[in-house]
Amino acid sequence: MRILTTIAFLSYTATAGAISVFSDDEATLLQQGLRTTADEFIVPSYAAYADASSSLQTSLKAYCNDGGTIGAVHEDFAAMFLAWQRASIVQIGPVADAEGPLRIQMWPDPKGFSRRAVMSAVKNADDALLEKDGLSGRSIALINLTALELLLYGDLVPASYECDLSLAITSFQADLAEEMVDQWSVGGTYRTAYDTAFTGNDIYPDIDSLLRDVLAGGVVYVDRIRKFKLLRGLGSSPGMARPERTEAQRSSLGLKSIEVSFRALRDFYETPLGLFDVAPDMDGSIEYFVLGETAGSIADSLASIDAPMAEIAREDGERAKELRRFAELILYHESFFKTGFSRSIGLSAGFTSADGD
Amino acid sequence: MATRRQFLERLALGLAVAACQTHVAQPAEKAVYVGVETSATTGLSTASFFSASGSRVSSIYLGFRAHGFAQQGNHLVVFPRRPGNRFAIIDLGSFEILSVVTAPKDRHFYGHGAFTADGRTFLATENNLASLGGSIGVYELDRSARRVGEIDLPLAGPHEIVRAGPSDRFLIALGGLQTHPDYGRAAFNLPTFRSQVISLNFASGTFDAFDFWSGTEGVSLRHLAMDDKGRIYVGGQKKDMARARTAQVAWYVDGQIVKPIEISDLTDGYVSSVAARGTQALITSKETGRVVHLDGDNVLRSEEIDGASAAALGDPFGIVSGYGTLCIGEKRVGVRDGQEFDNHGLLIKI
Repeated sequence: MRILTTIAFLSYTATAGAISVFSDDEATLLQQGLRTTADEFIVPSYAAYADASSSLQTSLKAYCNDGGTIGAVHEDFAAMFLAWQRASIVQIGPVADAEGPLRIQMWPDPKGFSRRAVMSAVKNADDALLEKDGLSGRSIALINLTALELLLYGDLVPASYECDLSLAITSFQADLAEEMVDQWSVGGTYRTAYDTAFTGNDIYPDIDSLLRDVLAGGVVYVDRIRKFKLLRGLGSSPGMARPERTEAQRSSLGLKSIEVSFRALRDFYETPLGLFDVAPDMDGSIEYFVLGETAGSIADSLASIDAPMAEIAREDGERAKELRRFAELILYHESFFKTGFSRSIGLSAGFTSADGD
Repeated sequence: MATRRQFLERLALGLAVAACQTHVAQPAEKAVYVGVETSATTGLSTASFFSASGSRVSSIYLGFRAHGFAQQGNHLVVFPRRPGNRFAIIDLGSFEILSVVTAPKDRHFYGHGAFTADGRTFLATENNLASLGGSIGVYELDRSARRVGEIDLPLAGPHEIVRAGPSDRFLIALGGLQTHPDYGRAAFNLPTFRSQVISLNFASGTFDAFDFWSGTEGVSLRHLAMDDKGRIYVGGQKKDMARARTAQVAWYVDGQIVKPIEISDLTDGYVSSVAARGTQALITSKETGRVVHLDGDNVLRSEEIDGASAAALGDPFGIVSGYGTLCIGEKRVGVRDGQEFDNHGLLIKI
């Protein structure tokens, strides 16, 4: 009898699918919040990256044909680079495919893979790299923003192989950005799975797994701000600063990158009727608002500093001290993404297969 | 009246119990199983020891994120999850850490290791950070462990290593992916990597490769186990979506026969753990929350447990865990507050 009972039980579980901790009403509410976050934050962020890469294509074509200025190229690169810093808070969906976000920005790059890849490509002057789709399947060290920055902020000579390679990398990134916009737009392949997680689908058996992935992406993002963008160059205490380890030294965009990242955090949290904004309706934490406002204040403070990150590290004075304090404040965001938000809505954090081995 | 959440918790209890249909016949309070509990906040682990009745016998904070285990007599080696560079040796008599050993510069561990037949030496899978090639670190064990050698492997990303039978023949799953901790978990050779299982004759230092199996393109083979009939069960993870044509990630080897195990719908491209004993094996998948029971390539049954990960099969019982539940026979043990059970566990004999 016991065996029969067990068999009956198991046959039920085999058809029941995954078990969500949320009621139908809760899952619907969270799904609505996630959709709004996608519409109001995620898709516009990718669209901005796509637009900026398209603009850089235009200015690079002009410059490489002796019809434009390097100033316009640098301005468009800055817009593209910073658009990515904002969009990279999203670590799910097509950006996670293949080698993941490193396809777009491979930094830190302590082994100098991008520099080596650029030097090798320039030395060999392989025209195949310049053809349409010529960079598909090539090393991620060559196709990303770090490689592009090296080229654009070197002695970029019009009508040179370097110029053409810069354009090829920008075009590759523009294609990638378009693909992400397409997949995230309503009706897109990924977006459909994202929008239907609450009823379960091949990618997300339930909304719990989607939420875990979204929050895990948040952890990666804030960890990156703290460990890499801030402390990698500043060190954890005075005397430990290493200016050569700061981000985007050639373009001097390192500090702006941190400012944009904090502003992205605020906007991600505070998207009206987005995920975090709807969660209090089911007793979810309201801490997101305080964290968002704090992130916004930090972004404002950073905007008022007129110095490259490498200079701040070199000086290792009051400004470095203030930035180290911001690095400590990031830990509250990390805690919120790791456990604060999930616990408030009754979800276990869940080490997912994404971080498995 | 129970709330929906309370109902689901009870349902989960029922499922968890159903997922562990083996029986326990051991004296209470002696540790029979060690698992990993990892803090969701810090990502750092504790080695947690349980008796057959489900009681916690001991918990040892490790200070790193743990992954796999290897036991020899009273010594338990706890390996770190990639890219950890420290392993701990625990005395199972006193439940104390005897020593923590750090990898050489330019090496990190992949999370698994196995003892030689005489128990004096163990082999750990390692990453050579200078070449990004796979290697085996050879350690001699006393109260601590001394690294006495290294064996280069033909492919990158070695993961689980198990001793195959009474001699010093080891099976090693070579995941094939080149990674470096400075670049997170991104693989540098994703579009071209291949993965395979090899057999290492430790005495001679020679390898036999199991070739590249059809259908493993884009799949990184990570975990394996051999049952008492010498049949090998291998689980992998789908990594290159462009080349991995299906969600097939489990294979079975019986002598010259290599077959896919038809459980794609139960694993969905990700195997968490593989365990084997007697004529049976367990394969778990966090992706689907399934625990699959096998006899060769025959699927006996499968059950669900949220976040299915660790699996251990012994005589006479088996143990599995998910995110929040450890099943020891009929017993259900909840994870400690703020922690989750991690990917692996081991039945131990003290």
